[in-house]
Amino acid sequence: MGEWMIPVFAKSLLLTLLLEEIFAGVWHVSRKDLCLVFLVNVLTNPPVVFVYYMAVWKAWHPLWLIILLLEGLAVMAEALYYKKYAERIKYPLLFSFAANLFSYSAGKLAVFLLR
Amino acid sequence: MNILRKCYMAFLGAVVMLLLPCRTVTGDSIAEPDYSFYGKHRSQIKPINRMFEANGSGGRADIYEEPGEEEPVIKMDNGSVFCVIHMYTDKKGDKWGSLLYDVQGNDTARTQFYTGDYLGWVKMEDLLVRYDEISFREEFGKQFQKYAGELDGYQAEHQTLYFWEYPGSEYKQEWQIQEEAGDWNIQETYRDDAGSLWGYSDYLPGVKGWICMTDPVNPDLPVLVRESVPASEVEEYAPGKPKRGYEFIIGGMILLVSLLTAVMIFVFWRRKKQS
Repeated sequence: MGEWMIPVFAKSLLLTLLLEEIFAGVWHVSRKDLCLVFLVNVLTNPPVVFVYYMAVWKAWHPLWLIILLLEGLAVMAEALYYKKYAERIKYPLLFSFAANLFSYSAGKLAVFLLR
Repeated sequence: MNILRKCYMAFLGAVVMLLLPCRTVTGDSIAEPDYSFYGKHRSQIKPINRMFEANGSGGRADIYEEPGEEEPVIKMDNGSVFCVIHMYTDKKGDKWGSLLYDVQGNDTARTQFYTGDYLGWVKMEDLLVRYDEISFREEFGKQFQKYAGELDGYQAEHQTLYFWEYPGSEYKQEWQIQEEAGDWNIQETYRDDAGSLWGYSDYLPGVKGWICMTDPVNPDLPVLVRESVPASEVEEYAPGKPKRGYEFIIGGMILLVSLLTAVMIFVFWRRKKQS
């Protein structure tokens, strides 16, 4: 691990923010909730990416379980913030799950198309 | 669009995309190489994190999708420099190094030191170890002396000092001293052939290296070209204690950002709710 991680984190965060904001826009959340989505992802994405890279670096396994746990925790944490602070997100857990699923899947599509 | 319709469309989209054959995507939106080999061979894999240079026969080194495969997936030109992240020793005792690379053209791998969209494995015998601080210690360690305070008392405030990878390296890290320098945390020194005295400083987490104590603020010290060594001639690729530093710094920075963001949300959204 080293300073090369910083652009990797930045790239991951920017992509996540873009995709989740797009998703939130399609979900017709309010402008204030769009800001909340932005900040909540700034809160959760870097720790998820960091722990993922630590898992790869230290060869922790099984990796798929670690990813599942990380994503699950991120979904729960984001849902709690939406429940507490969102204006118009009526189903915070569903929104959080769907948004994360979208950003995960859209990222995969992007990789497939750019291959 | 009602909630059920939104969920249905999101679910459909996710199913379609998850069925697409491509590399693993993980962690919100990280497109990452496939590390499934690690899961099956954990006990034979150890971290290396050291720079190597391709030196295959015929001018190119083969990169395989997994160690032991018969056909390489791609080749890289000799001279390509990259970080070997982990090393795997197979049942025959052959050593393989993992690296990240990008694809250039149809059949050439392009390396960018530490990053890349693809994970591959290369035979260690096709590599040269780039001369680095570990190499320097192995070659000159017997000449090291104990630090005797040669840099103590140096008026460093408001000066930019340079921490070199090793004496004669082209890689340096600059650090501006704001106030008093404090403890340089130098344990060992080395005097080079030109008579300059160097000290290895573990100054701060993430700020460490060799300071030229004879001329600590000079960014243009002479670079000495040192040959890369065939990997087969190196007994231990990652000797000594595992280096700890960057993961704590980066982890700390991430924690700080997360905490500040949480406070920001609490302050601004709570205020809006109250109003």
